[in-house]
Amino acid sequence: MADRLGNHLRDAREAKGLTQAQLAEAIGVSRKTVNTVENGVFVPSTLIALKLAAALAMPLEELFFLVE
Amino acid sequence: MSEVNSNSEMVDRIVSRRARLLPVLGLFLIIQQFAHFANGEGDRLVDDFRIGAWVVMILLILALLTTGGAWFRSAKMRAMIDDESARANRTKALSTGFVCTILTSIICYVMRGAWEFSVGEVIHLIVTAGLGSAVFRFGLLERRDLG
Repeated sequence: MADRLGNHLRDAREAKGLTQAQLAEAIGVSRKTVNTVENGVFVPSTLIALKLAAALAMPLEELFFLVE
Repeated sequence: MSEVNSNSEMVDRIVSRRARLLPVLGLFLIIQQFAHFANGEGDRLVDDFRIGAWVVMILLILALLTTGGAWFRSAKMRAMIDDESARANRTKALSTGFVCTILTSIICYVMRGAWEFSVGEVIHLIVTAGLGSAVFRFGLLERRDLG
C-alpha cells in the first residue's frame, strides 16, 4: 500500500517561473513550508494542497500523487 | 525589490533566526539547571530575585514556543512565520517535552529516598527538562526544514 505523497511541485513552480518565496507569499506560508513540501519532508494539509494547486493553476491530482 | 520578495525575505530571516536561537535557548535552560543546583536554595532577598527571574524567563520561553514569537510583527507576517509546517514541528516538540516531563517526574519519584531534593528543586528540574527538551527539538526541526 502506498504510504508516501509525491508531488510535481518544483516542476510546476519552475514552469510558472516562480521562486519558492513568491509561491510561499501567494499562499500565505513561509518559504520553508514550500521547500519541505517540494522535498517530501512535510505532507501538507488539504487546505495548503488546494491553495498550491490554485496558485499554480493545476488540478490537485496532477500536482500530488501516491508513491507506490 | 518587490513587496512580495521583501515580505517573504523578512519572514525567512525571522524563521532562520528563531531556528538558530531555539536550540541555544534549550541548551541554556538545561545548563542553567546546573548553576541552580550549585548555588542551592536560600531565603535571602537575592534568592527570591533569582527565582523570580527564572519564572519570568520560563514564561517568556514558553510563550515563544507556543506562539512562535515575532509578537511585534503584523498578523499576516505572524501567520506566515507560524504556518502549517511550524505548527507540525511544534506538535512534535511538545510531544518530546511531555515525554521528558513524565520521565523526569518518574525519576524524581523513584529516587526520592536517595536524593535530598526540596519541592522547589524538583519543580525546577521537571520544568527545565520538559521545556528545555521541547524548545531544543523545535529548534532542531526548524533548522532541518530550512535545509
